Amino acid sequence: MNNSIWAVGRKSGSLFMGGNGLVFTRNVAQITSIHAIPSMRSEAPVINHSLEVSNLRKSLLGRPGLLGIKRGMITWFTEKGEQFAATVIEIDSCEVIKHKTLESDGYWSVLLGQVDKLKNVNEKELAKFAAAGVSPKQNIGEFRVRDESGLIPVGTELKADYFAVGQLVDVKAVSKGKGFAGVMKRHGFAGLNASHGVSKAHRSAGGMGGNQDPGRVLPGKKMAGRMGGNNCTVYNNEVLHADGEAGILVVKGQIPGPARAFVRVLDATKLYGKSLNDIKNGM
Amino acid sequence: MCNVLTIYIDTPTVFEPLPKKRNGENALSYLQKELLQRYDPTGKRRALVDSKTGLRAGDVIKVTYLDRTDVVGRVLGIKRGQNNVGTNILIRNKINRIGSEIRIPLFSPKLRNIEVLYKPEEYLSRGKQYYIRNTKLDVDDVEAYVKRQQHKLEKANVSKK
Repeated sequence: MNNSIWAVGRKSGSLFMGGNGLVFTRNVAQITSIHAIPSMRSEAPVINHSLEVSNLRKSLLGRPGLLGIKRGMITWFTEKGEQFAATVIEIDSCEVIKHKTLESDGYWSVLLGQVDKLKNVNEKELAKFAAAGVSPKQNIGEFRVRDESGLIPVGTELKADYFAVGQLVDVKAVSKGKGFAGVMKRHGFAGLNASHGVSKAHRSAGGMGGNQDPGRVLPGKKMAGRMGGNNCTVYNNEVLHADGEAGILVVKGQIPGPARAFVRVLDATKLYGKSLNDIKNGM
Repeated sequence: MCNVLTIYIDTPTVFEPLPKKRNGENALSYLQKELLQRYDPTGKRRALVDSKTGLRAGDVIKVTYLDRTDVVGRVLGIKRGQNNVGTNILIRNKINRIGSEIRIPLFSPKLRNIEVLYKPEEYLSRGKQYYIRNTKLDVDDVEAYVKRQQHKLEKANVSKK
């Protein structure tokens, strides 16, 4: 009996004796055949290219920014005696005109207007301002906000002291147009040699790529062309001075655009040393 | 019988604009006044760089800081800020025979005093005298120069008497 192959590795040597009879089951074969299931209910696929998902992807601010006018640059001294270059932004009668809501537009946002404009406004435009209960404005700007708690009541005037001294802000504006600029100015190329046989091409780009292979200039090659005059953002400029009554906001450093440019100032969206998720979670 | 056709045109209300801030004054000049009030309430510093009566390139000045350290040098030029408090004075001196220059921000809160040590009888030409660097017109040890000049003056006064 002990020499039987059935007994190998078993505790009791009596496989065919006693109450515990050996039952052979083939577990693998017991899976329900996939063809036996008529249908399965699965979750609807997430469409990433939709307004709802796009809203979730964005790290939006809790409150709108301000509209302003760049007035020029000045010298700024701190109490310690440090000296900075700073930019003066005028906040002139910046008022809330309209809200956009999730129900009507698919997202939350606040429309602001700045600088009173009493001439040459057509009736269609006038009606919009009349509805808000504010005087007609020269510039209008829209700021998206995270949720409805960021909607400031229509008709409220936002003053320069909306921002605290010491906080960081981002400033958005259209940069100064430079016209048709060469590669040295536009992309910082080194140009060609001043001598060694270079003739009438001292500020040229040089090579454009390969020869017969690939036989074409690759897309995105940096070349001469229109420079400036595009939307530009400077991040994390410190607020040095905010005078609500006088409508003056002073930020450290430079901002895009010429003096008298229309600028948008908002709370800093990127903070050094902090990931966007940290900021979202209030860390 | 005559029918009268009345057309009502619904014109939108135009609301009155907000009162003008700063009584309509330019934002930059308003801020400039405020800053000058803060950094130069007595107007002493402004008088120092007045284009007619103030300092000129060639004068010797002594700048004292709040921590009582001081710098002496001959004025090379005054850069006057427009609508800002960035006005500064460039002074030059020779320290251990090495020419050294420093730009003094006029309205800096670090400054205690600016004293005029010497004003020459005759001035060199130009408002900005950068051309004197490393020429025979260049400054020597300015403190020694001022002492020599004062000594000369005293001698002249004694001989007059």
